[in-house]
Amino acid sequence: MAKKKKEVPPPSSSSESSSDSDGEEEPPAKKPRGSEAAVSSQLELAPALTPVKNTGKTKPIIVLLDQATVETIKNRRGVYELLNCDDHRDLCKKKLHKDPNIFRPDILHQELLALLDSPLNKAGMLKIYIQTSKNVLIDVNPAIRIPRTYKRFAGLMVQLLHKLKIKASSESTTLLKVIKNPFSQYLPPGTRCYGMSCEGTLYSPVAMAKALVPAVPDDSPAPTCFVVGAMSTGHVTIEDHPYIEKMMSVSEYPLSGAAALSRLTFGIEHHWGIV
Amino acid sequence: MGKRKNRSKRSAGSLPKGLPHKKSSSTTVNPFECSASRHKGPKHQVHNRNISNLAPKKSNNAPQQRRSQHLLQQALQRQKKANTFVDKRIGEYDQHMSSEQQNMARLVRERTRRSKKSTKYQLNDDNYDDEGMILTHKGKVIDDEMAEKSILLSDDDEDDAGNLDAMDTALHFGGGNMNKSAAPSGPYGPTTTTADMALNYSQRKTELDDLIIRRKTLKAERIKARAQQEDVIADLDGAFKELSGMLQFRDKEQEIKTHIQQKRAGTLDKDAQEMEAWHQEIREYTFQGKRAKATDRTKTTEEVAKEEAERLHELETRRLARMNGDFSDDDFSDVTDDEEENSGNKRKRQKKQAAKKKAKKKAGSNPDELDDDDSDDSGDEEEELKAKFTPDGLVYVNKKGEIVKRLGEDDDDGDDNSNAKEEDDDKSSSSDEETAENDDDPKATLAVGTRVQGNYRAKEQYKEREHWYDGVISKVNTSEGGTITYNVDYNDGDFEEDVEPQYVRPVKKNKEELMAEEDKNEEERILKRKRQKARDKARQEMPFVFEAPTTLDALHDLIAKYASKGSDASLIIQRIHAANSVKLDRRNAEKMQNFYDVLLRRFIAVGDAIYTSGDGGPELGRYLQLDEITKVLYQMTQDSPDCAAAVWGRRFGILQNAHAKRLRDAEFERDADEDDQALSAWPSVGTILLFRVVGHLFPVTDRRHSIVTPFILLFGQMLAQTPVESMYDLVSGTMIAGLLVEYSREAKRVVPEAIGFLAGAIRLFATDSEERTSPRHSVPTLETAAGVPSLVELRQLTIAYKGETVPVLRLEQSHLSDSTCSAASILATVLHFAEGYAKSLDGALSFAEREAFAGITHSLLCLKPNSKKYPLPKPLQVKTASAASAVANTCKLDQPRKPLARRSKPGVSDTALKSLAPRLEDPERYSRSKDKGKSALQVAADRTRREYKREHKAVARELRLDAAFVEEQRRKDEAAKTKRARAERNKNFAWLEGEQAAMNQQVRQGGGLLKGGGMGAAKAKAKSAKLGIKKGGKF
Repeated sequence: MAKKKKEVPPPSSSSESSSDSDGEEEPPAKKPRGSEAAVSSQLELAPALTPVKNTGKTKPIIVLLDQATVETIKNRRGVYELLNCDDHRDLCKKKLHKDPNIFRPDILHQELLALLDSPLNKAGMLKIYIQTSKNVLIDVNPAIRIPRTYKRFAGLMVQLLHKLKIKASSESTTLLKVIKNPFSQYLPPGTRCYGMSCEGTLYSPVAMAKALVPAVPDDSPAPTCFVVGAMSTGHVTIEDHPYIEKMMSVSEYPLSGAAALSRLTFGIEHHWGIV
Repeated sequence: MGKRKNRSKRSAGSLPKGLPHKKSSSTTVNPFECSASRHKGPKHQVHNRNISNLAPKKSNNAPQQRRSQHLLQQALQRQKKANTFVDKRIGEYDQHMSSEQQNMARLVRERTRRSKKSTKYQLNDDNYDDEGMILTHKGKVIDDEMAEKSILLSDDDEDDAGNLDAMDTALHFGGGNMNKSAAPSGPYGPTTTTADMALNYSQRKTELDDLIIRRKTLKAERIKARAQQEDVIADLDGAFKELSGMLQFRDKEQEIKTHIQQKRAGTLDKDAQEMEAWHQEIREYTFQGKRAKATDRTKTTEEVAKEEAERLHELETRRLARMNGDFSDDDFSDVTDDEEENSGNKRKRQKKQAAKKKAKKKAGSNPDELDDDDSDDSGDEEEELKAKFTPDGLVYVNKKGEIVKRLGEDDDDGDDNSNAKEEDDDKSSSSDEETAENDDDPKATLAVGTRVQGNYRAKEQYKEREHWYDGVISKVNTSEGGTITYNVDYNDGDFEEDVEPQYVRPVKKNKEELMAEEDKNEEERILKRKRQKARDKARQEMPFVFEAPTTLDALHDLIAKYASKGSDASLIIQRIHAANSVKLDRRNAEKMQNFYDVLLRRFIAVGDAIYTSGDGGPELGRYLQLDEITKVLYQMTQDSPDCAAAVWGRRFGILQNAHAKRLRDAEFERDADEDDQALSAWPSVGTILLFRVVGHLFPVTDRRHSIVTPFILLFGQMLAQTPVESMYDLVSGTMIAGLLVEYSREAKRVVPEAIGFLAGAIRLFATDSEERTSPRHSVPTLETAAGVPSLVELRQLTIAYKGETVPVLRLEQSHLSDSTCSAASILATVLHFAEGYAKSLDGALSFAEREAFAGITHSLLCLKPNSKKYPLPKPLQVKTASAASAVANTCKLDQPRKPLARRSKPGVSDTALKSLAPRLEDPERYSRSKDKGKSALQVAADRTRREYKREHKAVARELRLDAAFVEEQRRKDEAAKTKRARAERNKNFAWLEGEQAAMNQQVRQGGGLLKGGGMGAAKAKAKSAKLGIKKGGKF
C-alpha cells in the first residue's frame, strides 16, 4: 500500500505542478500511515528485547555537505589552525590573495550540529558526508558528538585533516574519516539524489518529504540523498554533482544552511513520525 | 612567549637540544637521499607553511649521472688497476690564460700559501731564508757541513749520496762535465764538446731502452712461466688422481675389526672405553632424535582407515602363510617359547580350546549363540580326545587336560597330515641329526659332504699299510649289486674315486664340535617347535580380514565360526568394519550400508537376549558387546553420514510400523482373552536400547534433525498411546520417558508426554487408592494401569523392599519377575528422572516451570513417603525428598507467582544512537609530531633511531643500485669483447651446418655413392649404396 502511494518525483521541467500536486495529496497521506502503523503493531507481537541495530544497514537519508571550506593554516607561532575569516583576515588577503569572507568553517559547524542533533539522526536514519572546497571527502559517523564550541570544532577539523581519521575517545570506533573520491561511489544503487538551493523547486518541508521519501523508513529500497552547500556564497551545482536529479528549495527565502537542514529534517521526521 | 617560540622552532624541523647540529644545508643533505625524499611534496596542504628551506627538486637522472661519471670510472679503475693523474697546475688547461698569467697565478698561490699564519709560528723558521727557499745540491739540502763535504769529495762522482740516481744527477747537475776523468784531455785541459754531450745522451737513451726491453722480457717470461706452471699443476692434478687409486691408505676396516675384538675381549684401554661410551650415547641421541620427529599434521580419517586395513591384511597374509607352512621371513615375534609358560599355560590353553570347541558346537546348533545354555555342552566332549603338541611330543588329552595317550618318537606318522608336511620341510635339517646318531654304525651310508678320514689307496698299499687322511665325501656311488662306494676329496687336494666303505671312517668329532652341533640341534628344535606352535595358532586364530556379511544370518555364522566369547564377536565386527570401511574405497558404500543395517538388527538381537538371559557373564558380556557395536556404528556414521541416515530412516519406518502393528495386536488380544498374559504393545528391550543409541550417534540438541526429531516424536507417541498393562510395560515406559528427558535436557525442550508419564508413574505409588486411579495430570496410557492389579498394589510392593541402597532398575526378565525389587527400582528411577528434568529446566521457561511441572508436583504430594500405613523404605524416602526439593526449587514455589507480562517494543532510549565524543587533542598544544607525549630523552632516541634507519636503508639501496649498475656495465663490456669471437665461431658453425645440409640434400636426391649424410630413408638408401634419383618417391 505504501509503495503504491509512494510518489516518484516529477521531472524538473514541471516544477510548479508538482508542488501543487503535493499540496493536494497531503491530507489523504495520513490515513495509510496510520493503518500501516496499526498493522505493524499487530504483527509485532513479540519483537526482540534487544534494541534493533541499524548501524550495519544503509541509512535511508544521506546528506552531503558540499564545498565546506576546511583548510589548515600554520600561524606565526607554528600552531596549526583552521583557516577562517576572523582570525586570518590579513593572511588571506596578503598571502593567499583571496577574499577572506569565503573561509567560513563555522557554517559547516552549524550544519553539522543541526544534522547530528536532529531526532532523525538519533533514530539512526541519517548518514552525513562532507566535501570540502579542496575536494577532501569526509565520512561522518552518525554517532559522533560534534564539539559545541567553534574552537574545539576547529581543532578537531585540523586534527582530522592531518591524521585523516578521528576515533572515539573511549572505544575504537572511527567517527570521522577522510575517504576517497568520488562521492558517487558511496551512494547505494538506486539512490535518488537532490540538490538544495534557494533557486530550486519550492516545496514545503512536509510536502517535500512526502514527495521524495517513502512512507516508512524500512520500506525504502534505496536511500534518498540531499546535497546541501556549506559555503558562504554560491550554489550547489549539477556540474559538480551530475547525479543530482533536481534542485529543491524548502523556503521562499534564502536560508542559512543550518536552517534549511533543520526544515528538511523536520519534514522527514514529521513524515515518518519520528518525534 | 619565548618558550613557545622555542617550541615552535623545534617542531618546525630543527633537531632537539643535545643533538649535534649540522651547519649548512649542503653538508646536511644526504647525497643519496636528496633526490628521493625531497621530491615528495608536503602530505597535507597547509597554508602559510614555510617551505622555502626545501632544496629545489633535482632531476631524476642525477644518481644515474653520478654513477656513470664517477662511480663507473672508479670501478673501472679499480678493475684495471691503473691510476689517473689529476693535473692541478693552475691554468694549464685554460685557453684564455697566457703563460704569464699562469705564472702569476701560480706565484700568487705560492705566496699566499707561504703567507699563512701558520708559518709564523714554525719553530724551524731559521732554516729557511727570507724567501722560504731551500738550496739543494744533488737533491740534498745544502748546509755548511754539506758544503765542506762537497769540497772534500768534489771528484767523487760515484757517490750518489743524494736521493737521485748517480747518472741522473750527473746529467742534471753536472754542468756537462760528465766523466771528467774519462774525457780526453787536450793540451788545454780536458775538453768537452757538444758531440760528447750527444754521445752521452744517446748512451743514456740506449741504456734506458735496454732497461725497458729487459723489464718487458722479464714480464713476458713471468707470464709465460705462470701459464706453464698452471699447466703443470693441471697435469699433476690429473696424474695424482691416477696415483691416488694406487695409493694404499691405512686399513680402517682392520682397525674396526681389532677394536671390536678388543671390545669383546674386554681389553680396551681407558681412552677407547670412554670414547666407546660416548659413541654409544651419541647414537642413542640420534636415535631419539629420529624417533621424536614431529609430523606437521594429523592423519586424515582415510589414512587412518587405510593404515588399519593394511595392518590387518599384513597380519592375515602372515597367518595364511603360517597355516601353509611358509615361514620365510617370519620372526615369530608373537609366538612365545617358554617351557614354564608352556607347562603353566597348558591347562589354560586346553581350557580355551575346549571353550572354543564348545562355541563351535553351539554355533552349529544355534546361529544366535546369545542364549548360553550350559546344559548341552557336556555331552560328547569326553569321548573325543584331542591331539596336542607339547614339548614332550604329541599327546592326546581328554577334556580335563589329562594326558591319555602319549606317542613315541617313531609314531610321528600318526600325527595329522600337517606334521607329515612338516617332516618334508625339515628333512634337510633332520638328516644331520640322523648322521650324528648313526656315528657308531659303520655300515650306515655316509651322506655327501660328510667329513671323513679315508685310507688313501688302501688296496694298492704294501702290506696294507694304512694312511688315513682327512677329506670330504663328494659323491656316493651305488652299484647295481647294492655295494656302496664313495668319492672322497682329500683336504690336501687329492681325489679318490670308488673308495670302499671299510676304508672310509667318519671323523670323530671333538667336544666343541659336538657342543656346537648340540646347540644347533637345540636351536632347530626350538625353531621347529615355534613353527609348530605358530602354525597351530594360525589355524586356530580368527582371520584378520573379513568380507562384510550382507545378512544377519551371515554375520551370525561368522561369529559362530570364529568367536567363542562376546569380545571375539565384537572383534569380528570391528575387523569387518576396518577391512571394508567406506574411507578405504568409495565403492564400499553399498556394502557398508547393508552391514550397518545388519549391525542394527544384531544390536536389537543382543538387546533382546539381555532381556531373556541377562548379561551372560564375562564370557558373553552382552552390555560390552552393545558398547562395542555402538562404537563401530559411530565410526560408520562418521564415515558416511548419508548412508547412516538412510539406514536409520528405514529402520525408523520399520520400528514405527512395528509399533503400530503391536498396538493393534495387543488390543485384539486383550479383547480376545483377558486372563492370559497379554502381548505387550511396548517395544522390546533391544529396541529400547537401540533408541538410546540414536542419541549417541546423532546430535540431540539440533532444532530439527532428520533422525533424532522423528525418534523424539515416536517416543512421545509411544508414551501417549501405548497402554501400560504390566510391570514390563511400566519399565519400558519409564525407560522411554527417561530417553525423552535425556534427549531434551541439553536443548531445554519441554516434553509434556514425558512429564505426564513421570507424573502418572509416580502417582501409581500414591498412598491413597483414589489418587492412584485418578487420571489427573497424566497420560492416557496409564489409565489402563488402574485396572491392572499388580500395578495398583505397587505401593504395598514397594514397602517390602529391604535394601539399604537406592534400587537400580534392570532390564532382565529375571529382575522384573521379582516384583518387590522392580517396584522399588521403578519408583527410584522415575523420581530420578523427574529430579533431573526439573534441574535441567531450571530457569529455562521464564516463570512457566510451575505450570510445566504441575503434574509432577501434585504426584509428589500424593506420594507421602512417611505415611503411617505405607511408609516408604529409607533410601526411597531420601530420593523422594531430593526430587521434591529439586522440583520446588525449579518451580520457585516459595516465591509468589509473577503475573504474565507482555513484551513491549524497544523504547526510544533503546533504539537511539549512542553518541560518542571524539578523541580531541588540545588545539593550542597540537603538533603533528610523531613524538607527541614522549619524554625529551625518548624523543631524541627515537629520532636518532629513525634517522639511522632511514640512512641505513638509503645507503643499502644506493649500494645495491651501484653494484647493479657496475655489474651491468661490466657485462656490457664483456659482451662487446667476446662479440667478435662469438661471431666468428657462429660463422664456423654456420659453415659446417651449411655443408651438412648440402650433403643431406645430395643424399636425399639419391646420391648412392655418398656416405655419411642424409636422414631417415634416404640415409638407409645411401648406406645400401644403390644408385638412383628419387623423384616423387620413385626411381
